[in-house]
Amino acid sequence: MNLVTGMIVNDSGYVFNSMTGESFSINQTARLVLTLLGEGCSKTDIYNRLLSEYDVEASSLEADVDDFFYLLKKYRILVD
Amino acid sequence: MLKRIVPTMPGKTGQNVAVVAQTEIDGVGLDCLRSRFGSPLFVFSERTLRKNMREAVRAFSTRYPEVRFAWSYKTNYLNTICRIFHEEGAMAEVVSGFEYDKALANGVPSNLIIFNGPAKSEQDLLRAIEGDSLIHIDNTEELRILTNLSIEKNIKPRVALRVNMDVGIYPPWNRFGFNLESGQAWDALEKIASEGKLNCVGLHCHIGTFIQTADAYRIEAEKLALLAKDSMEKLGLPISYVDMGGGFASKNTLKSSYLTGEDLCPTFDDYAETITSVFRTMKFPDGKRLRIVLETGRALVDNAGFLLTSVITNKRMADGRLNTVIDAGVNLLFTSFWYNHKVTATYESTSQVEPTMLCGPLCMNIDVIRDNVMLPPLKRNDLLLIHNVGAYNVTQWMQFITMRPKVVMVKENGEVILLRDAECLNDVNGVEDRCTVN
Repeated sequence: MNLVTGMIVNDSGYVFNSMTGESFSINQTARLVLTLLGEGCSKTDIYNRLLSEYDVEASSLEADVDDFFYLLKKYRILVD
Repeated sequence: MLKRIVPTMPGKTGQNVAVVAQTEIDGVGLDCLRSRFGSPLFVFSERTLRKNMREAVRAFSTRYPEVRFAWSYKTNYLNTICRIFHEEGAMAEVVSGFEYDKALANGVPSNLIIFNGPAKSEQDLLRAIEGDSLIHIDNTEELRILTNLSIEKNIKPRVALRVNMDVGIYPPWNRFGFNLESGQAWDALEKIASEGKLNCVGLHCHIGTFIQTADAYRIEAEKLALLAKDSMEKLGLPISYVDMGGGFASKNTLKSSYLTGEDLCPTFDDYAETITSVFRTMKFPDGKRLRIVLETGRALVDNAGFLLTSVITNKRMADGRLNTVIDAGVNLLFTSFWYNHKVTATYESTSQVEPTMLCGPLCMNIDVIRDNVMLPPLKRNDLLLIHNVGAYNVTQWMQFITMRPKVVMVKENGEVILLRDAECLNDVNGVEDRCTVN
Protein backbone atom coordinates (compact mmCIF):
# COMPACT_ATOMS: atom_id res chain seq x y z
CA MET A 1 0.00 0.00 0.00
CA ASN A 2 1.31 3.44 -0.95
CA LEU A 3 0.22 7.01 -0.63
CA VAL A 4 -1.54 8.18 -3.75
CA THR A 5 0.63 10.21 -6.09
CA GLY A 6 -0.25 13.87 -6.46
CA MET A 7 -1.36 14.31 -2.86
CA ILE A 8 -0.68 17.70 -1.29
CA VAL A 9 -0.30 18.14 2.46
CA ASN A 10 0.43 21.57 3.89
CA ASP A 11 1.64 22.62 7.34
CA SER A 12 -1.78 23.72 8.58
CA GLY A 13 -3.23 20.25 8.15
CA TYR A 14 -4.93 20.66 4.79
CA VAL A 15 -4.83 17.65 2.47
CA PHE A 16 -5.76 17.65 -1.20
CA ASN A 17 -6.07 14.45 -3.18
CA SER A 18 -5.54 15.52 -6.78
CA MET A 19 -6.61 12.12 -8.08
CA THR A 20 -10.12 12.44 -6.68
CA GLY A 21 -10.37 16.20 -6.16
CA GLU A 22 -11.32 15.73 -2.51
CA SER A 23 -10.05 17.85 0.37
CA PHE A 24 -9.47 16.83 3.97
CA SER A 25 -8.34 18.27 7.26
CA ILE A 26 -6.00 16.36 9.54
CA ASN A 27 -4.57 16.84 12.99
CA GLN A 28 -0.91 16.68 14.02
CA THR A 29 -0.94 12.96 14.72
CA ALA A 30 -2.46 12.20 11.35
CA ARG A 31 0.19 14.37 9.69
CA LEU A 32 2.91 12.38 11.42
CA VAL A 33 1.34 9.16 10.15
CA LEU A 34 1.24 10.47 6.59
CA THR A 35 4.88 11.55 6.88
CA LEU A 36 5.88 8.08 8.12
CA LEU A 37 3.90 6.43 5.33
CA GLY A 38 5.75 8.67 2.88
CA GLU A 39 9.01 7.44 4.33
CA GLY A 40 7.95 3.87 3.61
CA CYS A 41 6.97 2.79 7.13
CA SER A 42 4.50 -0.06 7.49
CA LYS A 43 1.32 0.04 9.56
CA THR A 44 3.07 -1.97 12.29
CA ASP A 45 6.06 0.41 12.29
CA ILE A 46 3.72 3.35 12.66
CA TYR A 47 1.75 1.70 15.44
CA ASN A 48 4.98 0.98 17.39
CA ARG A 49 6.26 4.51 16.84
CA LEU A 50 3.02 6.07 18.14
CA LEU A 51 2.91 3.67 21.09
CA SER A 52 6.41 4.73 22.16
CA GLU A 53 5.81 8.41 21.54
CA TYR A 54 2.38 8.94 23.10
CA ASP A 55 0.87 8.13 26.49
CA VAL A 56 -1.89 5.93 25.11
CA GLU A 57 -3.38 2.52 25.84
CA ALA A 58 -2.35 -0.12 23.30
CA SER A 59 -5.93 -1.26 22.64
CA SER A 60 -7.15 2.27 22.13
CA LEU A 61 -4.25 3.07 19.78
CA GLU A 62 -4.82 -0.10 17.78
CA ALA A 63 -8.47 0.84 17.24
CA ASP A 64 -7.53 4.38 16.23
CA VAL A 65 -4.81 3.25 13.80
CA ASP A 66 -7.15 0.67 12.25
CA ASP A 67 -9.82 3.35 11.85
CA PHE A 68 -7.36 5.82 10.34
CA PHE A 69 -6.06 3.31 7.81
CA TYR A 70 -9.63 2.36 6.95
CA LEU A 71 -10.37 6.00 6.14
CA LEU A 72 -7.14 6.41 4.13
CA LYS A 73 -8.22 3.49 1.96
CA LYS A 74 -11.86 4.57 1.89
CA TYR A 75 -10.88 8.01 0.56
CA ARG A 76 -8.28 6.53 -1.81
CA ILE A 77 -5.36 8.28 -0.13
CA LEU A 78 -3.72 4.89 0.42
CA VAL A 79 -3.75 2.74 -2.71
CA ASP A 80 -2.38 -0.60 -3.88
CA MET B 1 -8.02 12.32 12.75
CA LEU B 2 -8.92 12.63 9.09
CA LYS B 3 -11.96 14.67 8.20
CA ARG B 4 -13.30 15.06 4.71
CA ILE B 5 -14.15 18.63 3.78
CA VAL B 6 -17.49 18.70 2.03
CA PRO B 7 -18.16 21.83 0.00
CA THR B 8 -21.57 23.16 0.94
CA MET B 9 -23.35 26.41 1.71
CA PRO B 10 -21.98 27.81 4.95
CA GLY B 11 -24.45 27.84 7.82
CA LYS B 12 -25.55 31.19 9.19
CA THR B 13 -24.23 30.29 12.60
CA GLY B 14 -21.11 28.61 11.26
CA GLN B 15 -19.96 25.11 11.94
CA ASN B 16 -19.26 23.94 15.45
CA VAL B 17 -15.55 23.38 15.70
CA ALA B 18 -15.32 22.51 19.36
CA VAL B 19 -17.48 20.78 21.92
CA VAL B 20 -17.62 22.30 25.38
CA ALA B 21 -17.45 19.52 27.92
CA GLN B 22 -19.72 19.27 30.94
CA THR B 23 -18.13 17.32 33.75
CA GLU B 24 -20.70 17.69 36.54
CA ILE B 25 -24.30 18.42 37.39
CA ASP B 26 -24.78 20.88 40.24
CA GLY B 27 -21.33 20.09 41.57
CA VAL B 28 -21.60 16.30 41.38
CA GLY B 29 -19.08 14.68 39.06
CA LEU B 30 -20.50 12.58 36.24
CA ASP B 31 -17.89 9.84 36.69
CA CYS B 32 -18.92 9.63 40.32
CA LEU B 33 -22.59 9.30 39.34
CA ARG B 34 -21.81 6.44 36.98
CA SER B 35 -19.68 4.67 39.59
CA ARG B 36 -22.52 4.82 42.12
CA PHE B 37 -25.57 4.24 39.95
CA GLY B 38 -24.40 2.73 36.66
CA SER B 39 -24.99 3.67 33.07
CA PRO B 40 -27.21 4.70 31.42
CA LEU B 41 -28.61 6.96 34.10
CA PHE B 42 -31.27 9.68 34.17
CA VAL B 43 -30.21 12.58 36.39
CA PHE B 44 -32.49 15.41 37.55
CA SER B 45 -31.44 18.68 39.11
CA GLU B 46 -33.67 19.83 41.97
CA ARG B 47 -32.08 23.26 41.76
CA THR B 48 -33.11 23.68 38.12
CA LEU B 49 -36.64 22.38 38.73
CA ARG B 50 -37.27 24.90 41.48
CA LYS B 51 -35.54 27.69 39.57
CA ASN B 52 -37.72 27.05 36.50
CA MET B 53 -40.92 27.00 38.53
CA ARG B 54 -40.06 30.19 40.42
CA GLU B 55 -39.10 31.89 37.18
CA ALA B 56 -42.43 30.96 35.58
CA VAL B 57 -44.43 32.05 38.62
CA ARG B 58 -42.52 35.35 38.80
CA ALA B 59 -43.09 36.04 35.09
CA PHE B 60 -46.86 35.66 35.43
CA SER B 61 -47.59 36.83 38.96
CA THR B 62 -45.72 40.10 38.56
CA ARG B 63 -47.98 40.89 35.61
CA TYR B 64 -51.33 39.54 36.81
CA PRO B 65 -52.56 38.88 40.34
CA GLU B 66 -54.59 35.71 39.79
CA VAL B 67 -52.39 32.97 38.35
CA ARG B 68 -52.14 29.31 39.29
CA PHE B 69 -49.95 26.59 37.82
CA ALA B 70 -51.05 22.97 37.62
CA TRP B 71 -48.33 20.37 37.22
CA SER B 72 -48.87 18.28 34.10
CA TYR B 73 -48.43 14.73 35.37
CA LYS B 74 -48.00 13.12 31.97
CA THR B 75 -44.92 15.25 31.32
CA ASN B 76 -43.10 13.63 34.20
CA TYR B 77 -44.86 11.75 36.97
CA LEU B 78 -41.92 10.62 39.03
CA ASN B 79 -43.37 11.24 42.48
CA THR B 80 -40.42 13.22 43.83
CA ILE B 81 -40.58 15.57 40.87
CA CYS B 82 -44.34 16.02 41.18
CA ARG B 83 -43.98 16.78 44.89
CA ILE B 84 -41.35 19.43 44.18
CA PHE B 85 -43.77 21.23 41.87
CA HIS B 86 -46.56 20.88 44.46
CA GLU B 87 -44.23 22.31 47.12
CA GLU B 88 -43.72 25.25 44.79
CA GLY B 89 -47.46 25.82 44.72
CA ALA B 90 -48.67 23.87 41.71
CA MET B 91 -51.99 22.05 41.62
CA ALA B 92 -52.13 18.72 39.75
CA GLU B 93 -53.30 18.27 36.17
CA VAL B 94 -54.02 14.63 35.38
CA VAL B 95 -55.41 12.82 32.35
CA SER B 96 -56.21 9.34 33.67
CA GLY B 97 -57.40 7.51 36.74
CA PHE B 98 -53.86 6.28 37.25
CA GLU B 99 -52.51 9.83 37.31
CA TYR B 100 -55.40 10.89 39.57
CA ASP B 101 -54.32 8.22 42.08
CA LYS B 102 -50.71 9.37 41.82
CA ALA B 103 -51.69 12.96 42.58
CA LEU B 104 -53.71 11.88 45.63
CA ALA B 105 -50.80 9.73 46.83
CA ASN B 106 -48.54 12.76 46.44
CA GLY B 107 -50.72 14.58 48.95
CA VAL B 108 -52.63 16.81 46.54
CA PRO B 109 -56.11 17.56 47.94
CA SER B 110 -58.71 16.23 45.51
CA ASN B 111 -60.22 19.69 45.06
CA LEU B 112 -56.87 20.88 43.70
CA ILE B 113 -56.78 18.29 40.93
CA ILE B 114 -57.71 19.21 37.38
CA PHE B 115 -59.02 16.09 35.67
CA ASN B 116 -58.41 16.38 31.95
CA GLY B 117 -58.26 13.91 29.11
CA PRO B 118 -60.44 12.40 26.41
CA ALA B 119 -61.10 8.99 27.99
CA LYS B 120 -62.31 9.28 31.58
CA SER B 121 -64.16 6.24 32.87
CA GLU B 122 -67.48 6.56 34.70
CA GLN B 123 -65.81 5.27 37.82
CA ASP B 124 -63.06 7.89 37.60
CA LEU B 125 -65.59 10.63 36.94
CA LEU B 126 -67.54 9.60 40.02
CA ARG B 127 -64.41 9.74 42.16
CA ALA B 128 -63.59 13.16 40.78
CA ILE B 129 -67.13 14.39 41.47
CA GLU B 130 -67.05 13.13 45.03
CA GLY B 131 -63.60 14.67 45.49
CA ASP B 132 -64.80 18.06 44.20
CA SER B 133 -62.07 18.00 41.56
CA LEU B 134 -62.17 20.28 38.54
CA ILE B 135 -63.39 18.11 35.68
CA HIS B 136 -62.59 19.39 32.22
CA ILE B 137 -65.19 18.05 29.83
CA ASP B 138 -63.81 16.72 26.57
CA ASN B 139 -66.85 15.42 24.68
CA THR B 140 -70.65 15.18 24.64
CA GLU B 141 -70.65 11.64 26.00
CA GLU B 142 -68.72 12.81 29.02
CA LEU B 143 -71.11 15.74 29.41
CA ARG B 144 -74.05 13.30 29.43
CA ILE B 145 -72.40 10.97 31.96
CA LEU B 146 -71.53 13.87 34.26
CA THR B 147 -75.09 15.19 34.10
CA ASN B 148 -76.51 11.75 34.93
CA LEU B 149 -74.06 11.25 37.81
CA SER B 150 -74.91 14.68 39.10
CA ILE B 151 -78.61 13.77 39.23
CA GLU B 152 -77.94 10.32 40.66
CA LYS B 153 -75.62 11.54 43.43
CA ASN B 154 -77.33 14.88 43.94
CA ILE B 155 -74.00 16.69 43.66
CA LYS B 156 -73.29 19.64 41.40
CA PRO B 157 -69.77 18.92 40.13
CA ARG B 158 -67.30 21.67 39.33
CA VAL B 159 -66.50 21.48 35.64
CA ALA B 160 -64.78 23.41 32.87
CA LEU B 161 -65.42 23.07 29.17
CA ARG B 162 -62.45 22.17 27.02
CA VAL B 163 -62.50 24.15 23.82
CA ASN B 164 -60.41 23.92 20.67
CA MET B 165 -59.90 26.79 18.25
CA ASP B 166 -57.96 28.19 15.35
CA VAL B 167 -55.04 30.26 16.64
CA GLY B 168 -53.23 30.48 13.33
CA ILE B 169 -50.68 27.74 13.89
CA TYR B 170 -50.05 24.44 12.20
CA PRO B 171 -50.98 21.73 12.95
CA PRO B 172 -54.29 22.90 14.45
CA TRP B 173 -55.24 20.97 17.57
CA ASN B 174 -58.93 20.28 17.21
CA ARG B 175 -59.12 16.71 18.42
CA PHE B 176 -59.75 17.52 22.06
CA GLY B 177 -62.73 19.35 23.46
CA PHE B 178 -65.45 21.29 21.66
CA ASN B 179 -64.71 23.44 18.63
CA LEU B 180 -65.22 27.15 19.06
CA GLU B 181 -65.56 28.42 15.52
CA SER B 182 -68.15 25.82 14.46
CA GLY B 183 -70.37 26.59 17.46
CA GLN B 184 -69.88 23.24 19.25
CA ALA B 185 -68.49 24.93 22.34
CA TRP B 186 -71.34 27.41 22.61
CA ASP B 187 -73.93 24.66 22.13
CA ALA B 188 -72.35 22.69 24.98
CA LEU B 189 -72.26 25.73 27.25
CA GLU B 190 -75.94 26.46 26.49
CA LYS B 191 -76.80 22.87 27.34
CA ILE B 192 -74.90 23.07 30.64
CA ALA B 193 -76.61 26.37 31.47
CA SER B 194 -80.11 25.16 30.57
CA GLU B 195 -79.84 21.86 32.44
CA GLY B 196 -78.32 23.49 35.50
CA LYS B 197 -76.79 20.26 36.79
CA LEU B 198 -73.13 21.20 36.48
CA ASN B 199 -71.25 24.05 38.10
CA CYS B 200 -69.33 25.36 35.08
CA VAL B 201 -66.59 27.42 36.65
CA GLY B 202 -63.99 27.38 33.90
CA LEU B 203 -63.02 27.27 30.26
CA HIS B 204 -59.98 25.44 28.98
CA CYS B 205 -58.00 25.26 25.78
CA HIS B 206 -54.70 23.65 24.88
CA ILE B 207 -53.54 24.99 21.54
CA GLY B 208 -50.73 22.52 20.88
CA THR B 209 -47.28 21.50 21.90
CA PHE B 210 -43.87 23.16 21.66
CA ILE B 211 -45.44 26.45 20.56
CA GLN B 212 -42.59 28.67 19.42
CA THR B 213 -44.63 31.79 18.87
CA ALA B 214 -46.04 33.53 21.91
CA ASP B 215 -48.58 35.36 19.74
CA ALA B 216 -50.61 32.17 19.32
CA TYR B 217 -51.42 32.48 23.03
CA ARG B 218 -52.66 36.04 22.49
CA ILE B 219 -55.22 34.73 20.02
CA GLU B 220 -56.17 31.92 22.39
CA ALA B 221 -56.50 34.32 25.32
CA GLU B 222 -58.65 36.77 23.36
CA LYS B 223 -61.00 34.04 22.14
CA LEU B 224 -61.27 32.35 25.53
CA ALA B 225 -61.77 35.65 27.34
CA LEU B 226 -64.57 36.60 24.97
CA LEU B 227 -66.20 33.19 25.37
CA ALA B 228 -65.95 33.52 29.13
CA LYS B 229 -67.52 36.99 29.01
CA ASP B 230 -70.40 35.76 26.82
CA SER B 231 -70.88 32.69 29.04
CA MET B 232 -71.22 34.91 32.09
CA GLU B 233 -73.35 37.63 30.51
CA LYS B 234 -75.63 35.62 28.22
CA LEU B 235 -75.83 32.25 29.97
CA GLY B 236 -75.21 33.26 33.56
CA LEU B 237 -72.47 30.68 34.04
CA PRO B 238 -70.20 31.29 37.05
CA ILE B 239 -66.92 31.24 35.12
CA SER B 240 -64.05 31.99 37.51
CA TYR B 241 -60.99 30.72 35.65
CA VAL B 242 -59.55 30.25 32.20
CA ASP B 243 -57.12 27.38 31.74
CA MET B 244 -54.66 28.33 29.00
CA GLY B 245 -53.29 24.79 28.81
CA GLY B 246 -49.62 24.11 28.22
CA GLY B 247 -47.39 23.85 25.17
CA PHE B 248 -44.68 26.36 26.10
CA ALA B 249 -41.52 25.33 24.26
CA SER B 250 -38.43 24.20 26.13
CA LYS B 251 -34.90 24.96 24.96
CA ASN B 252 -34.71 21.79 22.89
CA THR B 253 -34.17 21.97 19.13
CA LEU B 254 -36.78 20.43 16.87
CA LYS B 255 -35.36 18.31 14.06
CA SER B 256 -37.00 20.57 11.49
CA SER B 257 -35.57 23.73 13.03
CA TYR B 258 -32.78 25.75 11.45
CA LEU B 259 -31.94 27.71 14.59
CA THR B 260 -31.37 26.09 17.97
CA GLY B 261 -34.12 26.05 20.57
CA GLU B 262 -32.02 28.25 22.82
CA ASP B 263 -32.02 30.95 20.13
CA LEU B 264 -35.59 30.49 19.02
CA CYS B 265 -37.92 29.69 21.89
CA PRO B 266 -39.82 32.40 23.79
CA THR B 267 -39.06 32.98 27.46
CA PHE B 268 -41.59 32.73 30.29
CA ASP B 269 -41.68 36.53 30.21
CA ASP B 270 -42.63 36.50 26.52
CA TYR B 271 -45.50 34.07 27.11
CA ALA B 272 -46.59 35.86 30.28
CA GLU B 273 -46.69 39.31 28.73
CA THR B 274 -48.71 38.04 25.77
CA ILE B 275 -51.28 36.17 27.85
CA THR B 276 -51.73 38.52 30.79
CA SER B 277 -52.02 41.63 28.63
CA VAL B 278 -55.31 40.25 27.26
CA PHE B 279 -56.78 39.57 30.70
CA ARG B 280 -55.56 42.89 32.10
CA THR B 281 -57.52 44.82 29.51
CA MET B 282 -60.66 42.67 29.11
CA LYS B 283 -63.67 43.83 31.21
CA PHE B 284 -65.81 41.09 32.73
CA PRO B 285 -69.26 41.41 34.36
CA ASP B 286 -69.29 43.04 37.83
CA GLY B 287 -65.62 43.88 37.49
CA LYS B 288 -64.81 40.21 38.04
CA ARG B 289 -61.22 39.14 37.46
CA LEU B 290 -60.67 35.66 36.01
CA ARG B 291 -57.94 33.41 37.32
CA ILE B 292 -55.43 32.22 34.73
CA VAL B 293 -54.48 28.56 35.07
CA LEU B 294 -51.39 27.23 33.28
CA GLU B 295 -50.57 23.59 32.69
CA THR B 296 -47.14 24.01 31.23
CA GLY B 297 -44.98 20.94 31.74
CA ARG B 298 -42.20 20.65 29.20
CA ALA B 299 -40.76 24.13 29.73
CA LEU B 300 -40.57 23.54 33.49
CA VAL B 301 -38.86 20.17 33.52
CA ASP B 302 -36.99 19.57 30.26
CA ASN B 303 -33.69 21.27 31.07
CA ALA B 304 -33.65 19.78 34.59
CA GLY B 305 -33.20 16.28 33.16
CA PHE B 306 -30.02 14.70 31.76
CA LEU B 307 -29.23 11.28 30.39
CA LEU B 308 -25.77 10.01 31.22
CA THR B 309 -24.64 7.37 28.76
CA SER B 310 -21.48 5.38 28.00
CA VAL B 311 -19.81 4.63 24.69
CA ILE B 312 -19.94 0.98 23.68
CA THR B 313 -17.99 1.15 20.43
CA ASN B 314 -17.14 3.12 17.33
CA LYS B 315 -17.85 1.85 13.83
CA ARG B 316 -17.52 3.19 10.32
CA MET B 317 -20.56 3.28 8.08
CA ALA B 318 -20.14 2.22 4.46
CA ASP B 319 -19.89 5.88 3.42
CA GLY B 320 -17.09 6.55 5.90
CA ARG B 321 -19.22 8.31 8.52
CA LEU B 322 -18.38 7.62 12.14
CA ASN B 323 -21.05 5.71 14.05
CA THR B 324 -20.69 5.75 17.82
CA VAL B 325 -22.85 3.25 19.69
CA ILE B 326 -23.95 4.20 23.20
CA ASP B 327 -25.81 2.31 25.91
CA ALA B 328 -28.96 4.48 25.80
CA GLY B 329 -31.41 3.96 22.97
CA VAL B 330 -34.65 5.40 21.67
CA ASN B 331 -36.56 3.15 24.06
CA LEU B 332 -35.27 5.42 26.85
CA LEU B 333 -35.10 8.63 24.89
CA PHE B 334 -38.43 8.77 23.13
CA THR B 335 -37.99 12.49 22.41
CA SER B 336 -35.01 11.82 20.15
CA PHE B 337 -37.58 11.07 17.44
CA TRP B 338 -38.37 14.78 17.19
CA TYR B 339 -35.49 16.64 18.87
CA ASN B 340 -31.85 17.08 18.02
CA HIS B 341 -30.86 16.71 21.65
CA LYS B 342 -27.77 18.58 22.73
CA VAL B 343 -24.97 16.09 23.45
CA THR B 344 -21.77 17.03 25.24
CA ALA B 345 -18.58 15.23 26.10
CA THR B 346 -17.73 14.85 29.75
CA TYR B 347 -14.02 15.54 29.42
CA GLU B 348 -12.07 18.41 27.98
CA SER B 349 -10.62 17.67 24.56
CA THR B 350 -8.96 19.41 21.67
CA SER B 351 -11.02 21.27 19.12
CA GLN B 352 -10.80 18.26 16.82
CA VAL B 353 -14.36 17.08 16.38
CA GLU B 354 -15.95 14.79 13.85
CA PRO B 355 -19.48 14.48 12.48
CA THR B 356 -20.84 11.48 14.30
CA MET B 357 -23.95 9.36 14.02
CA LEU B 358 -24.98 8.48 17.56
CA CYS B 359 -26.83 5.19 17.84
CA GLY B 360 -28.33 3.31 20.77
CA PRO B 361 -27.75 -0.32 21.75
CA LEU B 362 -30.98 -1.76 20.33
CA CYS B 363 -30.81 -4.25 17.51
CA MET B 364 -33.13 -2.00 15.53
CA ASN B 365 -32.27 0.25 12.61
CA ILE B 366 -34.40 3.07 14.02
CA ASP B 367 -32.29 3.34 17.14
CA VAL B 368 -30.61 6.63 16.26
CA ILE B 369 -30.23 9.29 18.94
CA ARG B 370 -28.57 11.86 16.66
CA ASP B 371 -28.13 11.57 12.89
CA ASN B 372 -25.21 13.92 12.90
CA VAL B 373 -23.56 15.56 15.87
CA MET B 374 -20.07 17.01 16.23
CA LEU B 375 -18.18 15.06 18.88
CA PRO B 376 -14.55 14.70 19.93
CA PRO B 377 -12.76 11.35 19.66
CA LEU B 378 -14.46 8.82 21.92
CA LYS B 379 -13.52 5.35 23.05
CA ARG B 380 -15.29 2.55 24.87
CA ASN B 381 -16.61 3.58 28.31
CA ASP B 382 -16.25 7.31 27.67
CA LEU B 383 -19.22 9.20 29.06
CA LEU B 384 -21.55 11.45 27.14
CA LEU B 385 -24.24 13.71 28.53
CA ILE B 386 -27.54 14.20 26.70
CA HIS B 387 -29.33 17.40 27.69
CA ASN B 388 -32.95 18.53 27.97
CA VAL B 389 -34.47 15.10 28.52
CA GLY B 390 -36.66 15.90 31.53
CA ALA B 391 -40.00 16.01 29.70
CA TYR B 392 -41.88 12.97 28.40
CA ASN B 393 -39.00 10.49 28.54
CA VAL B 394 -39.42 8.94 31.97
CA THR B 395 -43.14 8.64 31.20
CA GLN B 396 -43.05 7.51 27.57
CA TRP B 397 -39.98 5.26 27.81
CA MET B 398 -40.34 1.59 27.03
CA GLN B 399 -38.99 -1.61 28.45
CA PHE B 400 -37.77 -2.93 25.15
CA ILE B 401 -34.78 -5.24 24.64
CA THR B 402 -33.05 -3.64 27.63
CA MET B 403 -34.29 -2.73 31.10
CA ARG B 404 -35.09 0.82 32.10
CA PRO B 405 -32.25 2.28 34.18
CA LYS B 406 -32.07 4.13 37.47
CA VAL B 407 -33.20 7.71 37.88
CA VAL B 408 -31.50 9.94 40.42
CA MET B 409 -31.79 13.50 41.59
CA VAL B 410 -29.08 15.89 42.68
CA LYS B 411 -30.67 17.68 45.61
CA GLU B 412 -30.11 21.36 46.28
CA ASN B 413 -27.70 20.42 49.08
CA GLY B 414 -25.60 18.27 46.74
CA GLU B 415 -26.89 14.96 48.04
CA VAL B 416 -27.79 12.43 45.33
CA ILE B 417 -30.92 10.37 45.88
CA LEU B 418 -32.39 7.47 43.94
CA LEU B 419 -35.84 8.35 42.55
CA ARG B 420 -36.51 5.14 40.69
CA ASP B 421 -34.61 1.88 40.74
CA ALA B 422 -33.51 0.03 37.63
CA GLU B 423 -35.88 -2.63 36.37
CA CYS B 424 -34.90 -6.25 36.77
CA LEU B 425 -36.02 -9.47 35.12
CA ASN B 426 -38.50 -10.19 37.93
CA ASP B 427 -40.28 -6.88 37.26
CA VAL B 428 -40.86 -7.93 33.67
CA ASN B 429 -41.56 -11.60 34.28
CA GLY B 430 -43.66 -10.86 37.36
CA VAL B 431 -46.66 -9.64 35.38
CA GLU B 432 -46.55 -12.84 33.33
CA ASP B 433 -45.97 -15.02 36.35
CA ARG B 434 -49.17 -13.70 37.91
CA CYS B 435 -51.14 -15.43 35.18
CA THR B 436 -52.33 -18.98 35.62
CA VAL B 437 -51.68 -20.92 32.47
CA ASN B 438 -53.73 -24.08 32.16
